[in-house]
Amino acid sequence: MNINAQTHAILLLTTHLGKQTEVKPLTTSEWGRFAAWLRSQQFQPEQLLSHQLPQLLSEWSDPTISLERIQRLLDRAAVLGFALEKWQRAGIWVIIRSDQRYPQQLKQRLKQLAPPVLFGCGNGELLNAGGIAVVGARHSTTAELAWTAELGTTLANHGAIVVSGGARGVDQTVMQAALAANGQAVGILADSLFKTALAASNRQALQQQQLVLVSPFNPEAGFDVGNAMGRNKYIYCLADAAIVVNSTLNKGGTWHGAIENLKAEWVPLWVKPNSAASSGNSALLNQGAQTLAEPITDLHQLINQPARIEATPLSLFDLVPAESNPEAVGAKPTSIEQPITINFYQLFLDYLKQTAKNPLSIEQIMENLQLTKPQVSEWLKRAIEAGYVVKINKPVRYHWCDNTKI
Amino acid sequence: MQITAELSYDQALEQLRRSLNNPRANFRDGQWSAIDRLINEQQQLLVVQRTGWGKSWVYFIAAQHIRLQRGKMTLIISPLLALINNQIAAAQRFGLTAVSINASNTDDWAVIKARVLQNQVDVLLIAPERFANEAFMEEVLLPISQQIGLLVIDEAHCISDWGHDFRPDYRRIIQTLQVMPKNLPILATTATANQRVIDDIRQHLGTFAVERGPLMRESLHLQTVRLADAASRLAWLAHYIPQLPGTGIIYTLTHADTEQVATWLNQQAISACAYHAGLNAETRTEIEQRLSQNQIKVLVATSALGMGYDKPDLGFVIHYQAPSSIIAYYQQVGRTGRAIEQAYGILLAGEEDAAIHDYFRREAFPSQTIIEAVLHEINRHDGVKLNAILEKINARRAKLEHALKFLSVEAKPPVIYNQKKWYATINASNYQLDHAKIAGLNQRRSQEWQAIQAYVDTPNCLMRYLAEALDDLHSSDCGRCANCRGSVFDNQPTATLINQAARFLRHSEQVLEPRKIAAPNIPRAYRQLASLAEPVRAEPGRVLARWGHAGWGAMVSHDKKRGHFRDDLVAALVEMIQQRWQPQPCPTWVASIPSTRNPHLVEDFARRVAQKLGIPWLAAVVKIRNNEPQKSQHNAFHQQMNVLKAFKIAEWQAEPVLLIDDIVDSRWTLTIVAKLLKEAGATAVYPCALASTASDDDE
Ligand SMILES: [Zn+2]
Repeated sequence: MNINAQTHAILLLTTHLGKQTEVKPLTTSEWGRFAAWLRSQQFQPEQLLSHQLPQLLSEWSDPTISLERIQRLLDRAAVLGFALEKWQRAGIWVIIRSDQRYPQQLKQRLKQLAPPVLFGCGNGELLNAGGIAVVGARHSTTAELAWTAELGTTLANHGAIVVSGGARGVDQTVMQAALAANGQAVGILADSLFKTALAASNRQALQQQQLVLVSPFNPEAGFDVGNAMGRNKYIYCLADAAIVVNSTLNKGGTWHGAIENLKAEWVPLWVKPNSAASSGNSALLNQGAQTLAEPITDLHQLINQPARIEATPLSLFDLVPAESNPEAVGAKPTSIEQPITINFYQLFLDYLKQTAKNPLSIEQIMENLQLTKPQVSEWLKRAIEAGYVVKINKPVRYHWCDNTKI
Repeated sequence: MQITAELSYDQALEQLRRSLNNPRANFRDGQWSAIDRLINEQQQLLVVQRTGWGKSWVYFIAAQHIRLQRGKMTLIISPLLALINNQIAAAQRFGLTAVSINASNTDDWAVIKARVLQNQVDVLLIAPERFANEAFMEEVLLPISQQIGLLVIDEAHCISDWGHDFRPDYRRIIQTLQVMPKNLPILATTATANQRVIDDIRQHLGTFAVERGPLMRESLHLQTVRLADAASRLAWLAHYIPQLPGTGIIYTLTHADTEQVATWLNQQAISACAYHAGLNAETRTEIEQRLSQNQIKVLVATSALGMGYDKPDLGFVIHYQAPSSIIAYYQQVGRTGRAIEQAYGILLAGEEDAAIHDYFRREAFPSQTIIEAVLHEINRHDGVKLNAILEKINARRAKLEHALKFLSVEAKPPVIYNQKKWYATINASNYQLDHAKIAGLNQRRSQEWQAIQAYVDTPNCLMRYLAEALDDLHSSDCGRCANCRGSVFDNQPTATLINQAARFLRHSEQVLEPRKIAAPNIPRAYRQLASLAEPVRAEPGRVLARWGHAGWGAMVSHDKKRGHFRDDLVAALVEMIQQRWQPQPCPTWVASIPSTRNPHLVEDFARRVAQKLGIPWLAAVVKIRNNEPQKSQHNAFHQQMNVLKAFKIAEWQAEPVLLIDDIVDSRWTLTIVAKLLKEAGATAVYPCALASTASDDDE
């Protein structure tokens, strides 16, 4: 590990070191502020390590970043040196934003909020190669994990790099499955990089350049909810598309990470169909995620999509009170006593018009409309004949033709 | 904001005068310049100055400033065990609270750590080998490192591959320095470094600035003497040491030699103590103190004697065998002649020196085979303990530890020790032993060895030779050495003394302690068989000589190859038993260890010993399983497993027995056969062997 003075300076200012440190390292945004000032003064961060520091900083003033704080952070030279020596023996390296290996996607998507430092072990080239993020819960059912493992294998077979958080449950399952299928993986860890880099389960993949483990935090840091939450955005930002295996509605890292991604519109978000009430997956569809069509046959279908699509109806009947467009429904239910006359086929077409701008599989349509396969097949056949819908192959999916009018 | 204030020359001088309580004290050449660069320019600095130049003034003044201006502590890494109290007292004069953490005060570590964290310690002294101790690094050094504001590395020539034999501890120090931010001031000091070493250090530690001063020493009288055989050298020591001023040090190359030379000198009424790495830290400190307080005339030491050992009035340093290089020699001889008018540095060169250095060179690096085996084994596990590796790899424990240490300090280490287990790293799969580098290092060592040989034989000024070899450009003829003004030692030891020394060498039998504890991790099915409870243990025995060494050792190795031990050895063994050992109760019969490879060699020898002792030999011990040669078993687990179930007792007497073997190595065979004899009914078992091949743990 060849560490230059600039890296040293940034590490000293931004990394938590040791348990007893009373002085708080600069947060990512604080560092951004300070770095911008250094740039404006045409100072290099490494000049902070020189004995001319007092003259250098005489003009600096900031409400939260006092000169004393900077001085005390920089004074941690010995503790950093001893720690770096230990980390490098485990094969851990350090990169900063200006390093070539630093993931460009992080800089582009997060700007000032991209982590100033990344610790890593393994094939750093993978950080700039994109991939498919797979996220999910630490505690998952056997069936979910089996599904996840299959997903990992599939992604590997398609040559996709799996990007995950390296946590227990879904993260590790998808990563190990991809690696077992000779695929490649990126693990963005919220804690324990040092330990993880030495674990036998990762060793071969690390040695064979299939895997890179990175973390913006001290490699010896233990689990911390804040760090885990903060790390989620890096998973999305390093990937080209993301798949949610399972999530809890309004709760937990997976849900919040997914929402964060939808709001920021970083990458297209796909969810594994799950209609259970406690699952957040259906709710994510409402927020702009899309249902993952299986089997995955073409990665481009996952990637070349808008990062967020307009809210998708949850089921056929959600469209019923569409008061703004009564004609389209064909008949308006007035009261429960009156015989209900609804044109279900028309409703079906409306649904497709809204959602099938991106191709949908028959399974996705079945899931969303809660219909049986023969019924959906029948209506699709009719819609294709009428020119409303086009069927595309490999995999078989159905696409709304925009230029048609109902 | 508290930002490092500058330290002016006047302030520093005032600090010095106040600390020494001497209003006229002044800095010596180079001292202020070193302080200035360290404090005011925050440099990382290598200072090359001879022993006694006063480097402690530099780091104590700097430590004062670091404490006052930055509230931080100074960490001194120094291979000194001795005179810690002196160092601590010296620091006190500078108003600094100094403490040491070392192997002998583990009980105090927690307290010292707490004091450091509460900012109550100004100077912390540790030995370099602490760096190879994972528990210390994890539990003490890393937690307190936030307090360190100045780092001092003593004897920094050890950082260089040129400077010394392979020192894993220093290798780790280099790696730490290489990743240390540039705003930590570092002072590296050495008394011996030629330009090659300095270049090498700078190559490792690119940004270090260098300060160097002259190395010549005014009061030192140098001389070299070639005396091929050990008896002549022992006689030389006994003859001349009483004539030498004050106290001194004799350097030998091996543990066994320190013991042998010290024993000989004591027999000759010269008070001497042996000192080597095999002694525990407490004993070593105690012995160093006995020399410091002039309670003994001479300390017989390997290079394990703390390089920071500091006794300003040391009168002489004698080498019993030639050291490995000029740097090592200057380092060791430089301990003498500092605070006294007349001091002597004498190098006795013997014929065995080359063979010993050859052995050290061969052993310096682990073999390809053991490295492959170790990596293979560690790679199979998710963390594995040393004992578990030993079960799988038939290698000496010390060899295995050496290999692991070597691997763990490589530039890209394939293994790492963490939480008491060994792990393979990402670098394990690509790891290649760097044969070219090792060959290069070995070649350098050969060159260094040639240079020391040339020193022994040069007709020119010896001091000048050393100074020039160390690239000291200020050197001239010293006018004091044996080549400048003739030897001061002209009256030779008498033939009687030389004969006496030869006899001493032949009488240098060693006690043979039987094993008392079974090897770790013996499988359950074998535990009963392996257990060594008190009633089945042998008595302490004797081994006549060391395999191949001066005295009987050479004769034993010669006869073993020929397949017959001559009567001289029978007589020597019987004489030893009857005249010196005299075991009580006296053995009344003799047994011997059978070997399948040469069935009659030991039996024949034991029969002749029995005859001479006038007691019967019985065919008591019978081999029931053809086991592997014991010498091919390299650690306790494999050695004990190999001899279990290999023997049975065919006949015996319920009396004390003398149990004879020719060569003893691990002692497992004698231990297990003794157990069988005792279980059969023998009342006492006295193991006895001609020679021991148990290897010296070299330093
Ligand atoms: Zn001379």
